[in-house]
Amino acid sequence: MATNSQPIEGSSLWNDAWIRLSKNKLSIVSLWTVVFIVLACFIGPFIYGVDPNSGELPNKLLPPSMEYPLGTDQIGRDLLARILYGGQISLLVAFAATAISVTIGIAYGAISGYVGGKIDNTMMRIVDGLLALPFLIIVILFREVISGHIETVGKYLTEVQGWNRDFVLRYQNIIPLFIAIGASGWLTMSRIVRTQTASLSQLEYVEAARSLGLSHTRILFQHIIPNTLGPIIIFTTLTIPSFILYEAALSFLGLGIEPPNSSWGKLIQEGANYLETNFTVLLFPALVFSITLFAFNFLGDGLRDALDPKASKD
Amino acid sequence: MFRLIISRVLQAFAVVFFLFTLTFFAIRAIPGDPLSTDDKSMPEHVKEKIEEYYGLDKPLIVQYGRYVKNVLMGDLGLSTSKPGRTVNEIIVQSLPASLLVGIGGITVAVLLGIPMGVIAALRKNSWIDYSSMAVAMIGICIPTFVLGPLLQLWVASKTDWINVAGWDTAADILLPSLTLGVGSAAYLARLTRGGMLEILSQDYIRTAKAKGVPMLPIIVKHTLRGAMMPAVTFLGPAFAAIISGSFIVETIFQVPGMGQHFVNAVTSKDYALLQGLVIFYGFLMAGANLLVDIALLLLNPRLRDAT
Amino acid sequence: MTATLKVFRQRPPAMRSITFTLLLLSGLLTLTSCQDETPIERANREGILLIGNGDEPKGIDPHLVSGVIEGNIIRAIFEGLCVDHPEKNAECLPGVAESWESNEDFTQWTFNLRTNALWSDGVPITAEDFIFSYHRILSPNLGAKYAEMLYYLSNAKEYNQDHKGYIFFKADPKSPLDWQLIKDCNFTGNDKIDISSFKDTAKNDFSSLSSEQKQLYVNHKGLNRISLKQLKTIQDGSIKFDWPTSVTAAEREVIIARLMQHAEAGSPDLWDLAHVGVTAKTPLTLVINLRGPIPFLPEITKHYTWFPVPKHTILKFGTIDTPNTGWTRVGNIVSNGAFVLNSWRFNHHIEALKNPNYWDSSTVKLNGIRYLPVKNAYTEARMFYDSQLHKTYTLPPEMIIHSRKVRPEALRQEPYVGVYFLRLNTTRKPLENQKVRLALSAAIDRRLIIDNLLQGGQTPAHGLVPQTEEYTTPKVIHFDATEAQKLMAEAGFPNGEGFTTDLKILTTPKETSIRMAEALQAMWKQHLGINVRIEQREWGTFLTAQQELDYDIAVGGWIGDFLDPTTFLDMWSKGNGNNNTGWSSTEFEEKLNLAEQNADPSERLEILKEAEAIILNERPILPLYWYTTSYLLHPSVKGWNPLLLDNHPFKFVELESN
Repeated sequence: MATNSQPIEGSSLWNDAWIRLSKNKLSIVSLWTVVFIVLACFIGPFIYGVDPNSGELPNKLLPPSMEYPLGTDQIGRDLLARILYGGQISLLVAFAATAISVTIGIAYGAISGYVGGKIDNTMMRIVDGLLALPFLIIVILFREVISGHIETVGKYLTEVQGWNRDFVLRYQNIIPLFIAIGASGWLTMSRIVRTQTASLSQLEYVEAARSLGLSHTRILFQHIIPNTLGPIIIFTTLTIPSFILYEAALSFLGLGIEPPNSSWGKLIQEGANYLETNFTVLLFPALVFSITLFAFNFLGDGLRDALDPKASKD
Repeated sequence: MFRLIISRVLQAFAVVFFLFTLTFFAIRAIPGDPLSTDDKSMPEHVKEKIEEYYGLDKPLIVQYGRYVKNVLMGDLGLSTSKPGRTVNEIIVQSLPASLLVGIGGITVAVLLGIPMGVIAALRKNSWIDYSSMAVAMIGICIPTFVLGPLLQLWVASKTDWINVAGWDTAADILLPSLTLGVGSAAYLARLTRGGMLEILSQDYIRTAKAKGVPMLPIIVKHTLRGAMMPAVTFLGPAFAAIISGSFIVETIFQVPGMGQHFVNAVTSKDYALLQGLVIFYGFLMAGANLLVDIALLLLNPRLRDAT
Repeated sequence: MTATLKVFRQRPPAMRSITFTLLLLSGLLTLTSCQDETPIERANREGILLIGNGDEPKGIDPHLVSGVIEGNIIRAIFEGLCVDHPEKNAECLPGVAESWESNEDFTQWTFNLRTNALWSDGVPITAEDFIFSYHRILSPNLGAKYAEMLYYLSNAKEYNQDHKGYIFFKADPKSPLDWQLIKDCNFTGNDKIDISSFKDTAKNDFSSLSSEQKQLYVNHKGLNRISLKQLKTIQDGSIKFDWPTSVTAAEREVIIARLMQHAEAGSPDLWDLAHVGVTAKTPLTLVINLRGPIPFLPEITKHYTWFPVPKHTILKFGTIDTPNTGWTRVGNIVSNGAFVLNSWRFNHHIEALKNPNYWDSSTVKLNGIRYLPVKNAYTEARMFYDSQLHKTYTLPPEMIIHSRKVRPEALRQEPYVGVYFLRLNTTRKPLENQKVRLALSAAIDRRLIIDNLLQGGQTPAHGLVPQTEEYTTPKVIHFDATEAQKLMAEAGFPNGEGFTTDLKILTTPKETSIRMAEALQAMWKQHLGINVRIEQREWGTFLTAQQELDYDIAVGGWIGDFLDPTTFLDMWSKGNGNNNTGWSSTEFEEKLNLAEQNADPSERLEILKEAEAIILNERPILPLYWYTTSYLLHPSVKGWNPLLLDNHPFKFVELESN
């Protein structure tokens, strides 16, 4: 499918959207929050400079102090450092998996909804079918299949190319994870896009475009997909947190991040065990996690309103 | 409509067959075998006997053929992780609890989510909108493995008539449903709000509004109907996902449901159990999706003409 | 717009329906669940013990299970020859056996069964039931995982492993051949030969194989396990079998003929020929012959593999060697314990009620026991705080701390015969170096781990076998960072320089195991300057990796089946399915053999101590700590005392309701 068929009036659409977005204070605050958190997780550790994986047992579960701004975890590691490093993994998993799932989902759903008839039916039944495959199985399979190869690549990078070993180890473990999550996450997205597309392609203006002899690709990219962006963006803002949570559920089952690496979901899951005894180990990761999700969400809302001029005139 | 149902049922069989075949070979491709999951190692001669008992010593294709034949006769095989139990029995015994929790969860989701979404949309950009969306966000942000224990601590421990966990009194359905439903309610609220706003901005609604037509009938007749479409699309899979995906809730609240078997079947390589669950779940999903499609047809006459 | 708002400001119809439904729902719930007493209060009134049991059991057939969870249920509904004492370790009370004695050298034991021991359906228990039971668990076709617990009986191992050659020519007094002359024949097969390339064809069709393959195949299977058809091909000479030269042609023919005769007869059960060491002198006198002296046999008979099962019921549902026939289901099961199975809801509960036909039912105070398969340990503790349980199965470290604050009177922490250790794969570099192993061991501060991570009052292991009153474990293991660094330098890795960076600790997804691995990782980095990785695998893969020696370091634990060092030492022999370290020592195995032949209890323990010293010196495993059990016990439960094996006899437990 050609990607060069950008809507001609696209630039003005996105320009208008940006102007509308910048008028929405909440969205702008959210945008900066997201930027701040991403920077904090990816650049912050270099400034903060505390090893997230070393700690001494006697220092376990300390309350926040000058030395440990957010306290320490159950084996005496600095919680702030762990939250920052954990954020890298959570955000990477979420972004990468979302990118994979959105791309597949839009393409699949739009084609299915637009083409309609028997093909649509078959495509949707395949989605039904795959949705009926437990998520876990796909993840385990992917992990087993990909992990070996990724490890080979990782070995090559460290031994032949001389890359930093810790760095490679940290990431070679999560790649199978987000591929697995992304590859099963597109199913619901494709259903939503398909429903939208199917009802849109019945609308007068699409029929008009068709009767004018516009190509299918053009109709899809110019008239249909842009009009499904609202639900897609809303769903995406919901998908990012749910993927972060998926990752945690997988870690919960021992299929996620390998220790001593961590992720927000894993930190929250571990923290939940201290509900009665040490609330801070749950509170801080959960707080960072929630703020991030709130920000993503309000940003998504703002984008939606901005992209849908009609709706925002009320 | 009738033709739709018939063809969907036939399709469901095809889908389930495809899935079953996929899982059959996929689970066997994962390293490890069903008999090596005990903490003590099993002598080789014993292992051979047990493999023979479960038919695991046969070539793969023979096992497959035999399994298909048994499935067609309604026999899903013997579980290896719970020796002496048939897969049929496990599904039958754990289905009621799953269904109840699933229905409870969906009820919570619908009762909280849809009204919240509708109100938020009608009062767009007001404090009600923001606060209900914020509440919805909290619902999404709190993982079940945090919300569950929190409810145990804050609700169950404080009241006499709600137990921390268990499946004995009618009240035991409350906390699991809430834990499962709140997340879905949040999704639903946001989808409903989005859908509502979409419709409210349509020209015919705006015209009607401009002409001073009373709003309530419009909302009920057009807006709500259209706004429910994404929500209904979401509900079908959500119901089935709640049933299989509730393993965390099931372990936290000690609910004897099906979700945990999915996880156990994978981790203990219980081939027959996993296949049986996939078959059952495949039909369940097909049923749920069929209901969704029927609901969508009823909601949107335009789609009806299309199919 | 304003119109809309007005309508909704009054009260949205949707909202009204929510309120209504919620009201209705809560009304219904309060109606159906008017609890004016807590579950514990109710259970105390009814005399039912509510006990957390960790998980749904894999079954309750004493011959087919191997776990602790299953044992907890089986111990209530079945009873063996001897019974655990409610407060003393290594003490046997009479069970089905009223009294017992042994001969001089502990190789023959006589158990006198009581006359009033009945099955729950009123049928008397006889020595025949025990013989049937031991016959059943040892039947090669039953596939009992834990049959080796009965290998103490003479000829039991050979019968269980279907060693036809041995049974025909050694155990059978009428044997035409002398076993000593033919025992080198390949009877049991050689599992090392790779037959995967022709595995499936070989099973059914022998003719499609090349003669070389045939020979490999037959050797792999061994004479004991090959089919009639395959025996014929050996007999008619169409393929060669690798006979030892010491065995004459005539002897070969006798062997083949005997095996064929058995196969042609449809491979009947060899129990009678095998002469397994269990006989009935009178209907109520059970005589047990052992393969060597065992002074502590009564202790072993308390294990559920030695419990009797009802012959008359089992044969009603199948033959002696059909597994999983459904005889253990509610309504079918007949048992002989202080309790009988009353109801069983999958993943929900198992309930056993007092057995009126039990011989000692006047001692039994409880009216019943309700086992709850609570998997989540945090939920379990919260259920206990909320008065839903009398006893928890376990207690996570965080909850130990919390319980100390909120329910100190309920917290129990008791020694438990078990050891947590690391297996080292001694076939891999650099772990093949004993110095490296010792260095890794010396760099572990066990006390620190226990006090900060486990918090269950465990004992740092100074040896392998948990110390008991009878057995003094060698004091070899201790934390010494300087010593560790010195050893490391001697091994060629001063300050960890040149040490591999790919060493991995294999763990299960269990939270405590992961934390342990993380703590070890940090300690080894701190004291030895080496980096190890952590690899987390789910249970099945975790075990397979160890069996295939596809790991470096793996966490592990072992719980004693009875109070004797052999339960911790035997597994490190060569070829034992639980060794998995690639380590073996003939010297070590000789000591074990010596101990097995020795009838003097204290001498025997001395020899075992020497055996333990050998393995500790080599250190293929790094013992970390000896277990304790931590749990919560409601104060209304009486008669629940600390026991090293944690096998609490339910018949002595009482509930005191206020």
